Amino acid sequence: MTRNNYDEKEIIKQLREEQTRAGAFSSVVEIYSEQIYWHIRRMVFSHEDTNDLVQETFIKAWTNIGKFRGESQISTWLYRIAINETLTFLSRNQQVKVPIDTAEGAVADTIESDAYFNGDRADALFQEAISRLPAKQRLAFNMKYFEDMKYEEMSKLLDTSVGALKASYHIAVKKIEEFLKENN
Amino acid sequence: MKLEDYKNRKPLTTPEGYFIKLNSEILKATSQKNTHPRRKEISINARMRWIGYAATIAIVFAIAVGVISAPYRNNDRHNEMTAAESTGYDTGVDSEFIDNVLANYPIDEYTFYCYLTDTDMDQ
Repeated sequence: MTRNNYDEKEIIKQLREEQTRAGAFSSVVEIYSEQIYWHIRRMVFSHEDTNDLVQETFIKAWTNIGKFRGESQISTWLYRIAINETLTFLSRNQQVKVPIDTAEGAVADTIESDAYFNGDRADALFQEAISRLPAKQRLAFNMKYFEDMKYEEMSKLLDTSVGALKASYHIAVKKIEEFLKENN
Repeated sequence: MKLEDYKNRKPLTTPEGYFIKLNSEILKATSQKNTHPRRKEISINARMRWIGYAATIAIVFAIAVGVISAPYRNNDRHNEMTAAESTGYDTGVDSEFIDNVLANYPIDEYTFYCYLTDTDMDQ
């Protein structure tokens, strides 16, 4: 099954049967790996860390497939695992967090020197502005800004009220705009 | 540049052919891992069957208790009758009537019971 003839119900049915599970999971990987990659990449920035986290996400999904009852969408289920993995990674890896006293522009310098960054100074500063947001605020910003996700959907994924997410997004936008205004 | 302008720029990149490689790496890793067994789902039919078994066991138990305790209950009843007979007060008359008579008429209890049971007062 490919993106063109993707049938969620059929995939869920196949995931529940032992004989068809591996094949169905292969379709899930093919359809969602890129989406999950970019979701994680915008949170952790490093390609290598993202690569590890994406693999971990899918391995966890596979080993816990018995717990997936098909009540939510496959994408919701994968997103939840990816978010948990990413937040755990960010809380464990202090070096990914930007200390408050780090000079403005310093993170942009590092980003610009990354092998998998192909933007200009403005792009690097924009990435730095995002990286300075607290993890959950960054998550809310990325989901709304880049993935154009509905607040209701975000609320389900993050177990946070719609109101809190709207506030979180607007605060994030304000912080990023202020940072860009000061540094551009 | 406005915030909206950054949305369509793609400064983050990946190695060439990365996603094809990623997918095969994921599938290779998952092929070496077992899935946790699915939680057993009990169908409604199976549930009803189990409820049926439980009900049958409860009924059999209740019958067994009833059968075992029956002789003891008969003995109790027999004992009660014997006690009533031994007092000589088994009149077969409603006790409320007896109380009413004793309370309102100038007759003592012994005489009244002798009258009711047709017993000779001299005995």
